Parts: sequence; C-alpha cells; structure tokens
Amino acid sequence: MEENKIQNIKDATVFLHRAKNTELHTDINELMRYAGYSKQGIADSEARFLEMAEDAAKKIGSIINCRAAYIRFPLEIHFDKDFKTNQNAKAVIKFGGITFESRFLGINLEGCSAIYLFAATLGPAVDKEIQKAAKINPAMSVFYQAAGAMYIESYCDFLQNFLAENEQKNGFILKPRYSPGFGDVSLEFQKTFFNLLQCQKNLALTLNNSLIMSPEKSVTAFVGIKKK
Amino acid sequence: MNIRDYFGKSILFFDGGTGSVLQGLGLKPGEFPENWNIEHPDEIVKLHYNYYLAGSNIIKSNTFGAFETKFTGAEGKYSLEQIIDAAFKNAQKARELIEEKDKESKEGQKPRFIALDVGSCGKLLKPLGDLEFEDAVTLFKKTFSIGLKKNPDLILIETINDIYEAKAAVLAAKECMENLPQEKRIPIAITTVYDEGAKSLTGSTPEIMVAVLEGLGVDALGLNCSLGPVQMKPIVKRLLEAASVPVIVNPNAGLPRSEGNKTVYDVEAEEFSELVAEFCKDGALFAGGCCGTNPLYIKKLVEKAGKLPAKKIEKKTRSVITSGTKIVEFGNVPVLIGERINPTGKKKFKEALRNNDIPYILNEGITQEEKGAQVLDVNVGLPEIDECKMMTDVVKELQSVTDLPLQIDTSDPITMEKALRIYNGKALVNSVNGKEEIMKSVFPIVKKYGGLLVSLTIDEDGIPTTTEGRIKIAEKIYKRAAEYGIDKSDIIIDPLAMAVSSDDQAGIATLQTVKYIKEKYNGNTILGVSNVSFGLPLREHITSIFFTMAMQNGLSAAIMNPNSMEMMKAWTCFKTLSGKDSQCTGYIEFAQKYEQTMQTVQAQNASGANANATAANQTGQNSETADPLIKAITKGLNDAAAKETRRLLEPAPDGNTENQLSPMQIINEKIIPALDIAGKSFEEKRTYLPQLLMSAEAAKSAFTVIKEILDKADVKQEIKGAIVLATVKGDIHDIGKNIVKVLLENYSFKIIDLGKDVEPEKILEEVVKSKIKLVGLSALMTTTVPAMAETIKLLRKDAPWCKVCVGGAVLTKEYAQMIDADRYCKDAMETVKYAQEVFEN
Repeated sequence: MEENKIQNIKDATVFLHRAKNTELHTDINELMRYAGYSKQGIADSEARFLEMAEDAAKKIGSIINCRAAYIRFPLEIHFDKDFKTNQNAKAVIKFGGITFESRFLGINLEGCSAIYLFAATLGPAVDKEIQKAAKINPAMSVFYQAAGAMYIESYCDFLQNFLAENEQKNGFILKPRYSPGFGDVSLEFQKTFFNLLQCQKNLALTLNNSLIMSPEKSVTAFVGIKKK
Repeated sequence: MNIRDYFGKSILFFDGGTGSVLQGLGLKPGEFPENWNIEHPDEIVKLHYNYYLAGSNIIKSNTFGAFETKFTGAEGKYSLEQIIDAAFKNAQKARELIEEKDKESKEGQKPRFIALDVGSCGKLLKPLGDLEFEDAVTLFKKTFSIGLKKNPDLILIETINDIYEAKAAVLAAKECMENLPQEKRIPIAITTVYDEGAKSLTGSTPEIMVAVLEGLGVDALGLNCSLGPVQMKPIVKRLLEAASVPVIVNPNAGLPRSEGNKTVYDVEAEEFSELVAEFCKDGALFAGGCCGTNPLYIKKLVEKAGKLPAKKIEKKTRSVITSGTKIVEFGNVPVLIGERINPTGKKKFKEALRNNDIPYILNEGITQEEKGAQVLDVNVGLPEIDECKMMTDVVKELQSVTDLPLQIDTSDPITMEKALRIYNGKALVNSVNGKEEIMKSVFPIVKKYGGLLVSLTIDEDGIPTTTEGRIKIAEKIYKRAAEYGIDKSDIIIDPLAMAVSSDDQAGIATLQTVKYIKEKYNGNTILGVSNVSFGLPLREHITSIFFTMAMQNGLSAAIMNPNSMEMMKAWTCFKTLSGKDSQCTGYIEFAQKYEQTMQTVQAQNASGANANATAANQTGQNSETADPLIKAITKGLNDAAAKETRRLLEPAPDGNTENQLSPMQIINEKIIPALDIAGKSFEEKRTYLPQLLMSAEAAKSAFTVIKEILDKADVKQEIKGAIVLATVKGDIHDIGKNIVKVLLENYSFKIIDLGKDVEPEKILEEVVKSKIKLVGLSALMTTTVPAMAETIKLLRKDAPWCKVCVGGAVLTKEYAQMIDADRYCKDAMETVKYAQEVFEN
C-alpha cells in the first residue's frame, strides 16, 4: 500500500454520526434468521420463541448506543483492459492517498467518482448483555446475539440512507456497502479504517490483534458514490 | 513555582486541539500526529508556542497515541523513546521561547507548564475486549516511565472512554512514581469522555468516575472531547458537585458537520469562550479545548476567564461505592448487602468452591440481585483452595454478569490487594479492625486502590462486651486511618452483632454503638445481622427484628440474606415508616411479590401428587412421547423437569414405592433419551438452537435435583471423563464453545473450560497436568485458524495421547484435516457423539 499526498485536505474530515435507538427499524423475522431459523422454522415456531425474540429486540434495542464515523474521498479506479472478460483481471482503486488492487471491490465501485468509508457500532453494552446471558440463560443469549446482528445492520442502513439523502442533492447515488474481509479485500484493511476514522477516539471502537472489532456488534464498510 | 502550588488556588488554562490544527497544516488521514515530532519539529514547536501565546498555562506534549504497540521501532517505524524524546524537545523549546517573551512583557513571567499527555491505549479491556487489565497497566507504564524522565510538570490522561482503562492508566502512573522521592512525584490528572446522556461509553456516570478516580488518588479530574460546551454543561455541574479535587473542562468546539464543501464546527470561538468561562465561574479550575479548537478559542477564553478567582473547593463527604456502572451511597436508606457468596455454614457453596464451579457462584450472585440486594459480598476463603486465585476469578466473572458493586471480603491482605486491583469500580472492603498489625497492612492497600472500608470493633484484646469498649476501638480506627490519608467517610464501622443466645446483653451493646457512631460522628455502620440469632430456633424472627432495631438506631448497611422474605419485609416496612418510600410504592410492590410467593409456597405444599399432572399440562399434549420428564426436557421447561424428577425419586404420598426410580434409572431412561430426542430434532432442523439450549438447561435442573439426592445419600455420580474446551488464541468468540460445554456437561462429562483467547501453551499445560484425553477447540475467524493449527501441533508433540476435535464458523472437514485435527464437529451434538466415542474406547 503506497501512500500519496492528499490533494484536498478539506475532503479528509472525519464526520460523526449518531442515531437514537427509536430511529432504527426492528425486524423480528430478520432477528430469527440471525438466530439460525429458516423461513419455515420461523413460520412453524412456537409462540414462546417469538416472544423471546421480541423480548431480545426490546432489551437490546434499549441499550444500544449507535455511533458512526465516516469520511468521504474522491475516487479513481483503473480497470485492467480485459477486466470484463478475464476473471483474474484487477481494478486499481485510489482514494485518500491509498492505492490498492481488488477485483470484487472494483466491480462494486464501477462508475463511482467518490467513496465513503465508515465504521459503525452499537457500543459495548450489547456485548456485555450477551456475555451475561450466555452465563445464565444460554437460549436467550442466542436471541440477544441475533438482535445485535439485526440492529447493527439496521443502523448501517439508517446511516446509508442519511448519506444517500445528502448525496442526492448533488445528483449522486450510493452503491451497496462492502466490508473488508469479503472477496479479495483483505481483513488487514481494518487497520486502514481504524487509522483513517480514528475509531478508538471517535467511537471507542477497538481492533484486536486478530483484526476483530470490540465492541463486536460493529461494521466497517466502503460505500461507492456514483453520478445518477 | 511548582504546578501543585496552583492547585485549588488559581485557574489554569490548557491548550486546545492538536489534530485539527495539524490537519490544517497537512497531516494526512491515518498518519500518526506523533510522527510530526520528528518529521516536522518546527510545526509542533509553533503549535505549542501559539497556544502559550494565546494564554495557555499548560500545553500537552504531542504524545496522545504514544504507546509501544504503535511505535515499535521496527519496520521503519519510530521507537517510543524517539517519539517521546522529540515531543519533549519540541515542548521545551516552545516553553523557552515563550519564557523569553514573557520576560519582555509588562505582565512578566506567567506559569508555563508541560503535561505528559496520553490518550487511550487503543484496545478494549477484558471482558468486553481482549486486553488483560494487567497488560493495560504495563502498556501505560512503559509510556509514563519514558515520559517521566523528560521532567514533565503533570501527567494528563485524556479522552478515556472506559473507567476500567482509566483505572489501569492511573495505577500505572502511580506505580511509576512510587519509588521517586516526594518532590519528583508530579500530579496525575485525568479527563474522560461522556455522551449526551452523561455516561461514558461503558456506562459510568460522573459520580461514579469521581468516586473511582478520587479513590485512586488522582489530583484533578474532568472531561474532554466528544461534546461541545453546551452539551457538557449538565455534566460539569455534576462533576463539580461530586468532586473534592479540581475539575478540568476541555470541550470540543461542538461537533463537525459539513456545510457545502467545508467542515465547520458548531461553536465559534466567541461563544465557546463565553460558555467555558461560565464553567470557571462555577468552579472549574482547569479549562481549555479539544477537537476543533485552536489558539483563537484559548485566547478568547483567557481574556474572559483569566482574571477570575479560583472558586474554593468544598470537601465532599459522601460515602459511596461503585461498580463500573452503579453507585451505592451509604448514610441515607440502609443498604442491603447479599451474604450468600460465602462458604461459612454452606455445604453446597463449599463444594462449589472445591470444584471450581464458577457458574454456581455466579448464580448465587444473580439470584441475590433479583431479590433486591444492592451490593454482593464475595467471600471465597476455604483452607484447601487458593483463595487469591479464586477471589480474582470470581470478581472478574461476577463483574461481567452483574452491575452491583461488590464487597471484597477476605482476611488475607494479598488476596485483598489483588482483588481490589482488578475490581472495576470502588469496592466495599471487608475488613480492617483495631489490631495494629492489621491496620498497618490494610490501610495502605485501601489508600492505593480506593474503597469504603469495613472496620470491625475488635482489637488485640478481643471484642469488648461494652458499648464504650467498641466505641473506643472505632475512634482509634478513625484516627489511624486519617494518618494514612483515609477519610472518615471511607470508613464504615462494624460494631459486631453477637449471639444473644450466649450473652443476653449482646444485642444492646451493638445497637448502642450504632447509635453513638451515628450521633457523635455522623458515621456509617454495618452489621452482619444474622449472627445475633445464632443458636436459636426460627432464627429469622430474631434476625429481622434486630435488623429493624438497628436501622432505627441509624444502621447504614446490613450483610444479610436477600432471599429471606422476613428480612426484606423488615427493610421495606422500615423505609415506608421512616419516610423513605414516596407514596408507599416500594411497600405496595413488595406486598404484591409477598402474596405471590406465599401462594406459590402453599401450592407447592399442596402439590406432590399433582406434580405429574402439572408437568404433563405444562409440556403440551402434542409431543411424540407421553413421559412427562422426557417431555419437560425436550420442551426445555426447567421447573417442570425439576419437579418431575423429584416426584420420580420420592415415594408416592401414600407411601407406594412402586413407581419410584433410582437416580441412575432417571438419568439413563429419561434424561439421556430426552437429550437425544432434543439433539436429533435439532439435527433434523425441526427445532433450533435456542430450544436445544433450553433442553440442556432443563436437563441441568433435573440433574441438580438428582445431585441433591445423591449428595444426601453420599453416592458419587459417575463422571464419564474430563474434556478441555477453549477458544483459540486471538479469538474472543465463545458463544459456540459455551453451547458445546452446556451439552457435554449434560452428558456427564467434566468440562475444564479455559475460556477464550487461550494461548496454546496454556492448553497443553492443562492437558498434561490432568492427562486429558480430549480437547475441543473453537475458532470463528479465518485469522485465528493458524492459532488452532499451532495448538494442535503443540499437543501432538507433547501430549500425543490426546484427541482434538475442532469446530467454529470458518471450519470445514477439509480444513480440520489440513490442520491435523482428529475430528471436525459441525455442532454441539456432534461433539457429544465424538466425546462418547473417545471415552468408550
């Protein structure tokens, strides 16, 4: 990863975002899915499990502290000439003084002229509640875990909607988010996210040596920005 | 003049933001600002100088992120030494320049100081993250020990989100200076981060922060970052009301937001300076800025607040203890301290300690919390176990499942120190007494870590029988504690409840002492009330009335059994009758609970014969099997499973023993088949994980009943074998592993659970020590599979007899083979099957 000089320093400000828990969408079916239930499983489930799922959503929903940090960069992509036809062809992606190669992210960012990087978290209280439940009520901990997964996705959607609204004014649309660790984008990229977004300072979000985030219910992602 | 000479006497001004200023000068996103100490020293000198020029008395060294984890000195990176050395050269140069200028100015020399500045170490502490408390202390120590050689005037720990990390940092600072001569020890200041709800990200309020940090002996405390001065206002007020040390306020210039293509902060310099000057009027003694502020903000602030007199700090005398998230105050409503985590007179608890049965102990804690305890006593002393290790293990585990503050209850000073060290909060400490030797060993520990100290009225001559004798000891303890710098508000006198059965005047002496301490000293008292009824029948009668009398005499806290309805009744009624229960809501709530409990007890007494019917009803009618116990377990109904097991074990009410089963019959004919049904139905995706876990829990309830019976009959239960479980190094996910554990235990395997993020060597050590035949390893991340491979390799080399099964989200059969595991188990049921296979051979 080579580092170039940032062209426009104004574009490199880290912005903070917060959401109230009441602003997030609660989806019990989605929660059940994260708890391992199939579609049929949800339909056939006894009422008491749905109740547990609802209780879990209520409990976790009441303790989340949604915070995010994001940064916007102009983006340059150069595709190998045979990108469309050759499965091994790469795209060179450049933003914020960072240059790297990826095929999958290239596909995701095709046509984009700018990019957001964000980190979002539900805060440490959720982890604590899951850990606690695992010791005293393992079945409930499965639902808590699922509720956390459901809400962090829900918060990412909320954040993305907010960003999309801002971009729309200038005639831009957003691409679906893409997280490091997927496809050919190494999980090592977490370090870049953490450096750029100062996650520790801004969000109290930390990265351990195996590149796992704590609090666990957190997401980092790229979001492409494209002219409508 | 030394910076300490200004403390409490005048207002000192910090500098403002560093990052935002450096960004304006071209700091790249992701680039370490600390590198600029070496690469752009002139810019850093200028930054400091400009703040001095604007009126700052204290500048922060550019070492916010200076930790050896970042500055390793390897791979072209700078070393920590280099960074800190350069940072101080720059800071000192700026100070020399400003002092030159001060000399020429009309106002003359101003106080100009340099703070050794550090932020968070960048990792979250266990149990939420993966950093051990002690490793955090070491990390901070490294930075402080280098920084202290550069002669800073002050240590400033800032932008801390987690109170537990704050504790680690402050301890590190203290310990780095322990061996320095008094004049070399510099003040320790700390500012933490709050959200708009006035809580830190891990849930600590301003009052909790103050209690813990003052307990640790910081010289100044406050808040910075995250919020602007507007949002900080209510928090500053609370800090000023709670703190007895100077308060620091370093707000952001509001929050950054985009306006067109520009970044702007909410609060401009003019408004900022007005608001922050208000804080100084209200009593803040240090003020400055954080993100988004620049020298202009500080200049305006000093213009407005520079001439203000320092408001005198009132010494606060609240007696409080805290966890990381809860605060309990003594001296108003009597505090209930749950006594159940204590082996004295409890056979089952003793056994749990011997078997290292932590879940049993945690359950005792959680049950007491549910019943209304406000503090949990933790006493795990038993001659045959390692008390120190057990104490720290239990404290760590308890503080991950309960929000209640803990009482560290031990007579061993080493155990006390270790427990207080890792305790997340300010603890209740039990205990010291009037013996000189004990005071000498306990006071320094409490002075170092903070705590509210239970002080028993006993000395070298034993327990005085008279009130006067006990008061004399209490007074001696107050006096001696003060010599160590421990205030009376951090002492809680225990005048000792003695058995009235052996001395009929015992109750009186205790109560009179309580009264005297309250009236003469407005001091706090505590009693282990149940001792009073020792040796008498129906002890609750005596204990609860004694408790009431003690409260009437001014008792501040009781160590008692919150599971006792009589005790809770006494406490609730006392509160209601002494005007501490607004509109009797507390009593009405209690009365409802009381009625419910009484009904349940009556129903239980009347049942017996009906148990079968009840269990069958509860389990529903549609199941394949009609057997109530099997049904209760497959459905995951704890109470029904326990009740049915009890029914099967006991003769029918008419004395008929025909249907009675032996414990082994129940296990083999009911519980195991039920678990198999639950497991199979899970495998076939007819049920899902939560139900499987509930079945396991229900089976556990059944086992608990059986165990009780076996214990009474003194029969040893058959254990199939011991298995070591661990989530491998680097991985902090343990839900999957915990599920496997629950199930294996149900199938009568003994589980040695080493937890998460476990070093390969630790696993090997355990396997060799106990000649373990099977190890289960879990990993969730692709990045931690190598650690799993490494563990297996080590086991193959030094414990070739041991089988290894692996599981976790990223593993496959092929992967498992590749890393030389004996078996890949795709879920908990498969692990059980494999374990059975291993131990049958």
